[in-house]
Amino acid sequence: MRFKIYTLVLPVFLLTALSACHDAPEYNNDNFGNFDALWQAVDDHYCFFDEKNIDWKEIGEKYRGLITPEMNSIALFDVCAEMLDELRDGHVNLSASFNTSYYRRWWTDYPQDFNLRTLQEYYLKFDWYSTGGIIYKKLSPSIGYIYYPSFSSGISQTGLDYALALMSDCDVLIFDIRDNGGGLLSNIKTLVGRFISRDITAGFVCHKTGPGHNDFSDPYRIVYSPADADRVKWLKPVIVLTNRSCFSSANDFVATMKGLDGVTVVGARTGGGGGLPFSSELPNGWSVRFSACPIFDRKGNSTEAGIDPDPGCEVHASEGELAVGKDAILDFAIEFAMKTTLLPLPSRR
Amino acid sequence: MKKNLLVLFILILTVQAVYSRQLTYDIPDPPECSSDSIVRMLEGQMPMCCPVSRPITQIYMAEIGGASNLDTYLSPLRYRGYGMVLAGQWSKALPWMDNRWLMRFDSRIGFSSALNPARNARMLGFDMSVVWGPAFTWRLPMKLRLTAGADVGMSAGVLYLPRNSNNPASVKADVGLALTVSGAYPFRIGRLNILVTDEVRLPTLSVFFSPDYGEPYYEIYLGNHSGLAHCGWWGNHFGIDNLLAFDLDIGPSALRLGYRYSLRSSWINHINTQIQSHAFVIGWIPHGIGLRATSPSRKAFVINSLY
Repeated sequence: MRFKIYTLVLPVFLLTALSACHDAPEYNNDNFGNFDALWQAVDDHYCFFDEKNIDWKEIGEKYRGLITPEMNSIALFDVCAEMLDELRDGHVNLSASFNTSYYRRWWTDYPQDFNLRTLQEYYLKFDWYSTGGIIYKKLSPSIGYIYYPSFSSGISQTGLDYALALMSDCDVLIFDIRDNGGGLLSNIKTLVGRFISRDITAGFVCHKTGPGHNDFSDPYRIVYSPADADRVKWLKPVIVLTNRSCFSSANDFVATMKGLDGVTVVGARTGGGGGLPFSSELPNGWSVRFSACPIFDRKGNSTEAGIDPDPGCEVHASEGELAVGKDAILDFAIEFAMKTTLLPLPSRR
Repeated sequence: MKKNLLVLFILILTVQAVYSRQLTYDIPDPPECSSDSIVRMLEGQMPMCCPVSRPITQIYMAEIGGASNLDTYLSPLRYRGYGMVLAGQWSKALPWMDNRWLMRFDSRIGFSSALNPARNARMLGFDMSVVWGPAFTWRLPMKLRLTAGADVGMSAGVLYLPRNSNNPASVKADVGLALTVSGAYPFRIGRLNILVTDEVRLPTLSVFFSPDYGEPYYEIYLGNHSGLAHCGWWGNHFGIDNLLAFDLDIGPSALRLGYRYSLRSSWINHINTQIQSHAFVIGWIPHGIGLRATSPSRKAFVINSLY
């Protein structure tokens, strides 16, 4: 009997132990092996195949046919980058020691609607306060202005306190994030906390639960809370300025702010980038980044294609006007603020 | 954080060392024992004729060797490099069932650094663990000693791949039960007493942490804590730890030389994790391994937990 127990237990042990030790995927470090590793990583993790109606298998076959064993690394990189461009996603990059690929058409096909020099020279008059990644100034006694160029720049809570305290006697705050290409999501929470007085649903996030194209978790509600009671808050009207180059975290910020009481989004549709990117790598050491976790607005709509300004608030600033010192989006915001609050016009020059 | 963990580890070492000294030397003066009675006492054939000391055997080890890390949450590629471990082991015979039970406490802290196949990205690993458990001993013919037991333990660590965007780290944590078995055999080369020991530890049932397949830690930070804890068994969370050690009785203390193979693997949420190491072990056993002949004039009968 003892012999029988041992003969049963040992195979069970070995089988179960082996089941925990799954084989790792193996790819040859040659042109085909690297291409296949890239295709597979995206196939397993990319999150917008269905939303963008992309047949990734067909795309893979098309570009694999362009691979030859003899082609050099630069040629291989170019084919791989072209394949990734089919995803039409600014969050997708292929990085090698000699190049990093970007899909740029999400912003190159649209007007820029912004010129930093015009803003600094004609509106801020080369005179502004600057702290922790933001610059700020009172455009008039009644209109405060903050420009935040990148969510990659950390925001100082104390700096925000000073900025908002300086504008505490203003009636409207213009929060300009044009050309903000994104950065840290945690900065959204820091900022939004200054504009709310109770918990809000900012949106939803979900993630892949497996390699299937439709293997997604249930959306998880993103809740933002007001900043601590001892922090300076702004609960008066806010005008958020956007252009097509607002991407990723900046896009998420606009999605969160839009629809809050007293918040108006003015400018152009944002660039999207509503998928939290993950990274993987190829046997030859190249790194690939791709959208992996879709983010939705508070109504459950995808934010990947960008966020529209509020109705009647879509404005474009032409290159010609910007070149002579006129920022149509900022002008619209100032006029909108004055209409809203019946304030006198600020002195622009 | 790292500083706090280091302080905790040093604190554990200190407490154990102090505790061990108290138990080792706090022994009343006994009458003498004969060598014949020692054997009979060990076998439980007669009561102890003199006070018994059950000192805590301390072993401090440093390990260095090769590391191989695969975690498909971070990368589909296996990283290879080196690993280092500092470990402490404290064991003590217990006065139950003719001194056949012993209790053991292990703690270890480790670091690894590994490169991808193209050698252009580095993955760093950090882990620590504590384990406590009893074991039962059989004295077999030919001086063999076999020990089998179980322990409870917890471990925590992280693999960190700085090149990644929103998946730069993979946290490892588990609490669980493990089976242990070891065999020991003493022999001599010239006048040098040597104890060769092979210890195998097999984590068996556990609760372990893993994010979902493509779940970012940002989502966990936002408060989504569902589905992070998993019941582990050999089918989804297999590990083994094997130490082959040669303890050389040198002077009042002993030197340990050995080899350790360690594997931690899991397959959960389509995430494949395999963390392996092969390490050379060098250790110090401050109060020796108890192989020297008991002197008739010795004032206490010492039951050593190592052999």
